[in-house]
Amino acid sequence: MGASLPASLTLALTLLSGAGRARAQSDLVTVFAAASLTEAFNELGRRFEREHPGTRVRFNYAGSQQLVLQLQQGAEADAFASADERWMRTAQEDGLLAGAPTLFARNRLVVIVPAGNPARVSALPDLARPGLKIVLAAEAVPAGRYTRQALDKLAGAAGFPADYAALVLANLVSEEDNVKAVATKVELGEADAGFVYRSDVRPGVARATKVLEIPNRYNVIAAYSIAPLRGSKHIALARRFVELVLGDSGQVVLERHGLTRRSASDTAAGRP
Amino acid sequence: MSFEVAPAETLVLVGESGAGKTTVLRLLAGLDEPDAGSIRLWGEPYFEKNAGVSVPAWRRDIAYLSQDYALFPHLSAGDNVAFGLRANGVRARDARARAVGALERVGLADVTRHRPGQLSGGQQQRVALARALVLEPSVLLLDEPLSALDLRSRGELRAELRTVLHGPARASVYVTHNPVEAIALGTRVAAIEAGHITQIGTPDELLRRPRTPYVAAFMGVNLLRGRLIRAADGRARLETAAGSVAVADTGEEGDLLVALDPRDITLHLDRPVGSAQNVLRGPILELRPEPPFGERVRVAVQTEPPLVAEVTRYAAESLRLQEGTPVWAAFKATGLRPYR
Amino acid sequence: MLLCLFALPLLALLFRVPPASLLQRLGQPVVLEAVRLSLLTTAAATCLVVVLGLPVAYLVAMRSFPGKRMLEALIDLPMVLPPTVAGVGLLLAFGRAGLAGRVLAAGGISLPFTTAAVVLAQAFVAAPFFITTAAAGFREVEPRYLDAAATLRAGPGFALRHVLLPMSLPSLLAGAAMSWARALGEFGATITFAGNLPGRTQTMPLAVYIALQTDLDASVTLSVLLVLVSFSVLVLLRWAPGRLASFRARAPRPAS
Repeated sequence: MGASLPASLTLALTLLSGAGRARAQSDLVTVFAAASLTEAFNELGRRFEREHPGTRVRFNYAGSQQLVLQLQQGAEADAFASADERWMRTAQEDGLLAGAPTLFARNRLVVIVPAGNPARVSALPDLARPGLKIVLAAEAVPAGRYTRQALDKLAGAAGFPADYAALVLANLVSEEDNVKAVATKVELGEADAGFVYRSDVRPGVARATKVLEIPNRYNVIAAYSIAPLRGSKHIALARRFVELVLGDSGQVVLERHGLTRRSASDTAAGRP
Repeated sequence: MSFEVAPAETLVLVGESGAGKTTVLRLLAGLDEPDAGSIRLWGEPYFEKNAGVSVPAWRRDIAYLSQDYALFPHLSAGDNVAFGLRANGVRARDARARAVGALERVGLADVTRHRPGQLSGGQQQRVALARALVLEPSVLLLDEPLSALDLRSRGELRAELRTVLHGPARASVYVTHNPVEAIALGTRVAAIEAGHITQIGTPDELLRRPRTPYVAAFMGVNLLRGRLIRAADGRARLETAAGSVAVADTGEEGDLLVALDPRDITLHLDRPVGSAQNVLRGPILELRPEPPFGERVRVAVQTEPPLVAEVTRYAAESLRLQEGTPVWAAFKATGLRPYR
Repeated sequence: MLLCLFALPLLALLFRVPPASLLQRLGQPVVLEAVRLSLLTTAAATCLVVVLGLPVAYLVAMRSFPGKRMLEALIDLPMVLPPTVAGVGLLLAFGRAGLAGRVLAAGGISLPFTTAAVVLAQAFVAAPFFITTAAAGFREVEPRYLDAAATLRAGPGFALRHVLLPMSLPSLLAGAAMSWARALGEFGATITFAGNLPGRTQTMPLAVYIALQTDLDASVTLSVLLVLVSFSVLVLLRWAPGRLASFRARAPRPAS
C-alpha cells in the first residue's frame, strides 16, 4: 500500500483516527498503540507527563491493523506500538518509522468464559461442541490472527479432534474489530467463550469471567514492538517515551497489567 | 341560549362575526362540546351535561356543511359524495351508484370524476350539498353556504336551497349574514349577539318589530326606543334619548320600541306640507346606493332622532342630494305602532 | 462551500475505483453477502418501523394525554443517542443476560448475533425519523377535513383510513424513506448488539469498516455501492411526493 489518496479521504481518516490538531502551547506527544496496551500505556503516559513537565501524552488505541492504515493515510503521530510483528514490518516497509522497531513485551492468549459459565466450558476441547457462541477478533486484528493460529496448533493435538479448528470456527458468532470488544461480549454474558490476551483480563473483566489457560506449546505468543515515527514533530520526546517503555520502570508497569516483560534473551540477542 | 327547531322548519341564525353562529352549529354537529346544557334530536339526547352523555359527531344524524365545503381534495366528486355511504357500510358499487344519482339530480353528472380543485365554486357547493344530503340526515346545518359565491350563482343556489330545505321531515339550521337569504329561506330567524339569542321569530316579525339595534339594522329598518307620552290633546309621542316622534297610540305604556321603514320617509328640500305628523329637519350624513344596481339609495340624516331614509336614485339626483345638504324628512305617525 | 464539503468525499470515493473494477468486485461473495443482508434487514426494519410507528405517530399527532411530552422526548431519543450507546442499551436489554433478554432466553429466543438483532438495531435507530415525519404529516391535515368526515358519519377508523392516511401519504412515504436510509447506514448499534459475521450480521456498513483494515479497494467498492443506493433513495424521496401530488390533481379544468 502507500498509494497516495485524494486529500479528502486523508482528511476523513485523520479525523477518524482522532490524531487531533497539534497544540501550540504544551508539547503533545501522540502514541498509536494496540488496544491490548490500553491500561498499561495509560499509566506509562501519566508517568511520562510527570517526568517531563509541560508535555502531554495522548493515545490512540485500536487494532494494530487499523493504526497502520491510519498512519499510511497520513495520520500524525510520534510513536507506534504494535501487537503484531507483521504490521510493524508493514509500517517499516512503508517508511513510516524513524528507527528500527524494538520488542518490548509479550502477551499470551487465554480463553475466557462468563463467570456463570452458561455453556459449561471446563476445558479447551469443549469449545468444539456445536451450538456454542464463540466470539473472536477479526482475522485482520493481530489477536484474531493469533487465535486462528493457536486453533490450528490445537487441531489434531492429543485430546483434540483433527478438525478442532473448523469446529470451533463453526461456533463463531461475531468477529470483533478489536480484542477489547471480545472481552466485553464475554463479560456481558452474551458470548459463551472468547479468545483474548492475558492482559485483557483486567480486574473488572476478571470478576465477570473465568480464565482457561492455553498451554505454551499451542499458544501463540504475541510479540509487541515499538518505534518512533518518522513524521513526528517531537522526535526527541518520542524516543524518550520508547526508552521509558523499554526501561525497568516501564517493564514493571507492563507486567503489572498482565503482559510479559522482555526476557533476558531478547535483550541479549541484540534486540536493543 | 335555548331554542327548538321543528321538522320541515328552517331556523336562520344571524349575527355579527364572532357572535357565535358557527359555534352553535359546531356544538349541534358534535364537533365541539358545550360547557353545560343539553342537545336532543327528536327527544333522543345527543348531549346531556348532567347525565354525562356526549354522542360523538359521527354518530349523530346530522349533516354539516361548513363555510368552505371541505370537499376531500384527494377524492373525485363522485367519491366525495359516496364517502358517507361507504363510511356506513354501503358497498362500494352501491355507494357509487347512489352518489352518481345524487349528482345527476343537481345537474353535475358530467363532473363525477373531477377533483374538487377542478370545479367552480357553485359546483363545489352543489357537490358538498349532495354529499351531505345523500345520507338523508334528520338535521341539516349550513354555515353561510352562499357567502363565497358570486352574485348570480348565489341567486341560483338560493332557489335550489329553498326546495332542499323545505323538504320533508328535516330540520335545518342555516347561518348567514345576508338579510335576503334570511328572509327568503327562514321559517324563523334568530339573532345572536355576543353568544345570546336576542330575538327569535318569523322573518316578518323581525322586520316589523325588531327588538335590538342589530336586528333592526340587519333588516334595514329604523328602530327607536323610548317612553310613550300622551299629550294633552290625546296624541301619543315617543320620547327617545335623541329626540321625539309622533306615534300611533296602541294603548301600551312605558318603555316601548317603534320600527320605522326607511321607505316610509320622504325627503324634501323645503318644508313639506301635507298630513305627515312627523316633520324633522337635519343635514344629510351619508348617501349609500343599494346593491345590486343602486336603483335605490339609503340616506342617513342627522335629525333628532337620527334616521335612515330610502329614496329612488331618480329622486336623489333630482333633489341633488349630497352629504351636508339640509333636508326635511317626513313620515306619518299612523304607521308607527309601538310595541314592547 | 458546504456543497464542496459534501461532494468531495463522495467524488473521492468514485474516483478511487474505476467502474470496471467496481463491477468485477461486485461479484465477490463478501460484497454480495453484505448487499443482500443490508437490503433484507433494512426492508424488514422499515416495515417494522412503519407498522409499529404509525399508531405512535397518530397518538402523538392527534391526541393529548398526560405525559405526552415525555413520550415525544423518548421517541426522539434514539436520534440523538450515539449509535454505539444505543447498541449497548439494546445489549443490556435484550442480551442473554439482559432485562428482557432473560425472559426471551427462557422461551428459547436469543437475539444477539442474529439477523433479527440487526433488524432490531436498525429499527431502533431509524424509528424516530419515521415517527416524527409521520406525526408532522398527520398534523398538517387540516382539521376541517376530519370534521367533515365526522359529520358524514365516518367513525375514527374509517376517517383514519380514508382521509388522514391518504392526505398525509407524501409525508408518510418521505418518513419511511428517511427511516430506510438511516437503517441502511446503521453501524454502531449493529456491531455492538448484533455482532459482525459475514452472511448473518455483516451489513454493508460493517463490511466497509472491516474491509477498510485489510483491503481498501473492497472497502471503497462497498462504500460506492452504499452511496449509490442511498442517493437513489433520496432522489426518489424528493421526486415521488411531487409526482403523487400532481397525479391527484390531474384532468383538465372544465370550461365553466
